[in-house]
Amino acid sequence: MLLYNNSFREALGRALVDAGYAYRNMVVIDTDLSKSTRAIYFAEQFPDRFIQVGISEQDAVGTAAGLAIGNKIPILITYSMFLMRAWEQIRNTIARDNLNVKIVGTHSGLSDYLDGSSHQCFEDIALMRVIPNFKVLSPSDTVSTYSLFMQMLDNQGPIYMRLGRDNASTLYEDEDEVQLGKANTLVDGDDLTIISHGAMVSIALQVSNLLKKHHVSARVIDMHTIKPMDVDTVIKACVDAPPIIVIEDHNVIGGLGGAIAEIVTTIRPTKVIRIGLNDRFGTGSTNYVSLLEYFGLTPKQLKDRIMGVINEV
Amino acid sequence: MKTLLTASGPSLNSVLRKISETYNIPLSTLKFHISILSDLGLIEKIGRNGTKIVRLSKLGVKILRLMDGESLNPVGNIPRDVDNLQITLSKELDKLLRKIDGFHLSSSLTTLNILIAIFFHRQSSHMDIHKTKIVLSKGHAAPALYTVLKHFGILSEREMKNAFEQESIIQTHPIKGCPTIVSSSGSLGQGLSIANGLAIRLKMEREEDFIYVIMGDGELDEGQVWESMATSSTHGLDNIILFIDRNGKQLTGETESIKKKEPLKDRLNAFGWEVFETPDAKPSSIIREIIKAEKIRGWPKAIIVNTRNLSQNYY
Repeated sequence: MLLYNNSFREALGRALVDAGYAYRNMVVIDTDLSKSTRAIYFAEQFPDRFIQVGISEQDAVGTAAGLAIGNKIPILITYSMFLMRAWEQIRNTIARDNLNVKIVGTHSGLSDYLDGSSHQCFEDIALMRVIPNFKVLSPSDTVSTYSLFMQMLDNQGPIYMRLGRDNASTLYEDEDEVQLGKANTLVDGDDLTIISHGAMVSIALQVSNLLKKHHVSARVIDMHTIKPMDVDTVIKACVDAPPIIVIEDHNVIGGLGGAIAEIVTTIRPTKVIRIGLNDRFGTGSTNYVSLLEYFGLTPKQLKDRIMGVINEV
Repeated sequence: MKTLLTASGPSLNSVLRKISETYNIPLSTLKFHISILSDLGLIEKIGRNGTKIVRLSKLGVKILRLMDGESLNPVGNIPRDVDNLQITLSKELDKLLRKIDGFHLSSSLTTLNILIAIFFHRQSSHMDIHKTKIVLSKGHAAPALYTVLKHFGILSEREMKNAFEQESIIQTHPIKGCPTIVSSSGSLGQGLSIANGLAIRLKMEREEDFIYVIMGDGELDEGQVWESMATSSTHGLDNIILFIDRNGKQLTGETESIKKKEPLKDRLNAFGWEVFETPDAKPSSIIREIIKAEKIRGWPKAIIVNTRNLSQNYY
């Protein structure tokens, strides 16, 4: 069954401290959530470069902009859901001037199972990828969280990184290459392709294992960089292993599924099945796995659904 | 007390130790004195990054200044010709906006004198006017800035000719690339947050400079303004000078009928700001308050500029 031996926010906390030593002009901005986001690890190590603005996301975005104008590398860390109330500030102040601000939204998707629908964010990818100049990342495990965080600092311009809370798997080895902008094909296959991002990649892998028992060979792609999209890998999958099945803990509208559909309809029309939150809000739960089950997102449920699709074709 | 005034962020104990060593006074005596000063409201404690920092309160600063024999009228003579500039530049502004049928003319006119005051003051105090850092939170007053920049030789005739066209650095709302503008703006209520970020960065690098933020009174409706006000005072950003263009009007009517701003001075005070007010909108009156504001250390300063008599239409 589902195995989660690690935590996204712990990986973030470790990356922040290591990056703090490597990048002396990096500063961290907190909206009174550092204990939850693990930004506190950075605060303890570098108190002079840790800026507390209180529970005020809009102000935090503007403050980050000012620091970036002054050639600092500000990392703004807050819950992805509450970042969205500052969307207009992100768009008008950070993105329009192409400022070097890095935004990390934690507790995204279903990861904040206990807090319920007010905290569960299924709209952030849609809202962030529509903004010009922005890059959008969604690492799938702790190794790629660390690696993409470091690459983000060397990548000029605004970036949004979407992270879960805990419930992270370890999919990569430290020496594996996870390159910003380049999708990772984790399993090869030619009957169909599952493309996923973030916490759902580990589930996609388990789905492919279950499908194998039914003699269905599924390719699994970790699309950790949602924007700019690795178009070549997507089109190759359309040619070699259609249909495309996108699994994500995001609204099926505007997420990775939407982004892939936008691309394939223009370049190589292929059936794209978008699986995620079906245009609805979340709900509280005492357990992450039972919340996945509630939304039909456990490996077994997804396998059954995909088998149904194959039989239709 | 002077040590407290000049130190930028010492902890209470480190200050007392320093005084104790310098003047050879027992630490316990000093601790007793400090409790008296605290009871009298002459010093205050603020928290930053978890450590307690002690500094003089506003009252403490004022008393120290009086004890130093500072004159009650610290501002010297301001050349009167600065007030003539507003007549010349109002005409220039009017001319500039004729091309776009007087778009945002009224709100630019009320902001014009604030900008004249900033640039005139910097020039006469030998501060590099080309390095002026302006955050025009009230973005729609940008034409006033262009007029002033042109007058002070920062924008050229050629650049002005292309004003408001596609790809011009002179847009109706400020964009990055225009001299002295540190950030694009146009969406209201965001400027002070940006200025805070810049001011924190200046403090980190121990650079001395001022960030001038110009806000309209209408945009005080935005919640972010008050978020950022609290950030400025929490972080002791005394390198920010905020101007509030108090013309009393916003797009659809009088400010007090749309959403109350008064008592504005009290509100700003309550947020930890030192507040100055001008009796009128003359550039010389504004410069007088800038000179006073520049001298205040430890917390952010706002100048409420009374521009009511300059506003003609609703904007």
